[in-house]
Amino acid sequence: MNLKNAGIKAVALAMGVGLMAVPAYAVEKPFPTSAVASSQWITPFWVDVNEVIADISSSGKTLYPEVYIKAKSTSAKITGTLYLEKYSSGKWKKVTSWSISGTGSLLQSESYSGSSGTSYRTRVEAEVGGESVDSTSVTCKL
Amino acid sequence: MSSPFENVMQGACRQSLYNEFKACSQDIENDDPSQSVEDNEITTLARKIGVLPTEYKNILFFRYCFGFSAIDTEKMLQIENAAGKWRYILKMLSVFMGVKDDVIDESSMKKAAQLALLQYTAYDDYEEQRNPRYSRAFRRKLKEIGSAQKSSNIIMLIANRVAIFVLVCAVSFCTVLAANAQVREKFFHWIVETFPQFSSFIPQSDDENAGPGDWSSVQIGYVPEGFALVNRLEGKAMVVYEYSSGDGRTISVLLKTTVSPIQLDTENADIREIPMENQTAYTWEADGFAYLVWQWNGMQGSIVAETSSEEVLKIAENIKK
Repeated sequence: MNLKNAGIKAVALAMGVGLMAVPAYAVEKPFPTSAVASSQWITPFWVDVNEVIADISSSGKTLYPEVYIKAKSTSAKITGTLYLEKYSSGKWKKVTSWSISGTGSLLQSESYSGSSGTSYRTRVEAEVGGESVDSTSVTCKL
Repeated sequence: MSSPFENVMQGACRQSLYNEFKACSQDIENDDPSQSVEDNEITTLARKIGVLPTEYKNILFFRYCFGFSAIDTEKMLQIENAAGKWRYILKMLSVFMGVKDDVIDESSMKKAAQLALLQYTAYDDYEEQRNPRYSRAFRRKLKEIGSAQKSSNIIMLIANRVAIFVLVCAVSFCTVLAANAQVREKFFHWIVETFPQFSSFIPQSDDENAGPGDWSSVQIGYVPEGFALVNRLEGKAMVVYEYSSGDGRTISVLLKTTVSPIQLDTENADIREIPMENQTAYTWEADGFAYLVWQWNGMQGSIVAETSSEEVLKIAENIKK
């Protein structure tokens, strides 16, 4: 009976380890360290979405949060929120937000006057044809 | 220290006492009236001997089968008062066999004891011992006893339960992750947010912020046959050219000046590296779309098109600024 119990536990553990490897396999594609790869991030998530980019640029003290979303279907509804966040006291905090909406694809740009010495980033949360997507930009320090 | 004379005296007295006991037991035998048992009842008597407790059976076997006296029986079996117990057994069996005032005689007891011994030693229960068949109630009892013994170590019991719980949760979670893309997305997003050093290739330095791009001079030099420009979306740091064909297929070409990550659909895709203008570009097909990402003229580019990878590469190679 001890052998039987040990066998059952070993099989359960093997199943657990095997199943844990599935999500790891989903992102196992090797990512070389070339100049292109180092600045891009390819992630394997969606069914209804081709591309999502949350971006931020600046000129002087003006920040330009942007978002681009492309759905696989030209008739897919896109709705969501574009957030501008700032880094404060060890956390990212929301500064302001804008609603986004479109059909098939959308590119939306906003502007905001920021504070010197503060790091900002853009984050987008959206629904594309019923599928949830989100993306976060790099930080931009004024 | 005892002298040799004392040792000899002790041995002599011990033997004398032994002889007295032997004589007593023989006297006991000669006093009781006995009665023989019919031959057809010997089997019954043997069966009754067979169900006696082991000690009583042994007393009868030692006396009637092996010829041991009561004293010798006590020595061999490490028991006391073998003679008294023998008399009790004899009386009991005599009553069971219907011999009321007498006892069963020596001859009948001998026959029955020998038959009982034969039956006792002939019983082969090895198979039963190797593979015992217990009732369900008995198995349940055995399990309870086993559990009761285990529970003496509370810490191990709790640890066992916790380990089982954790294992079940882990297996369930992984099954959900494998089956549900939405959950997988949220989980990986949390992983990336919490452990960016292991999952993201975003440059650490943000000293050089990208500014708005100048898109006025960008030209898409090649567009596959049948596609026409339907939309041009311009932001501060990115521009997107959208093309459509008569049969509803689309191409989108994106250029941007910043280093923010581009998230694209790569699930189950075979990503290939291709050389392109002293850089390495990445291309793959997924779900009817061809993808290309590359770096060009200090900018990042991505193309998502419902055409072949060769056409996508040709578009990228013919973008001019």
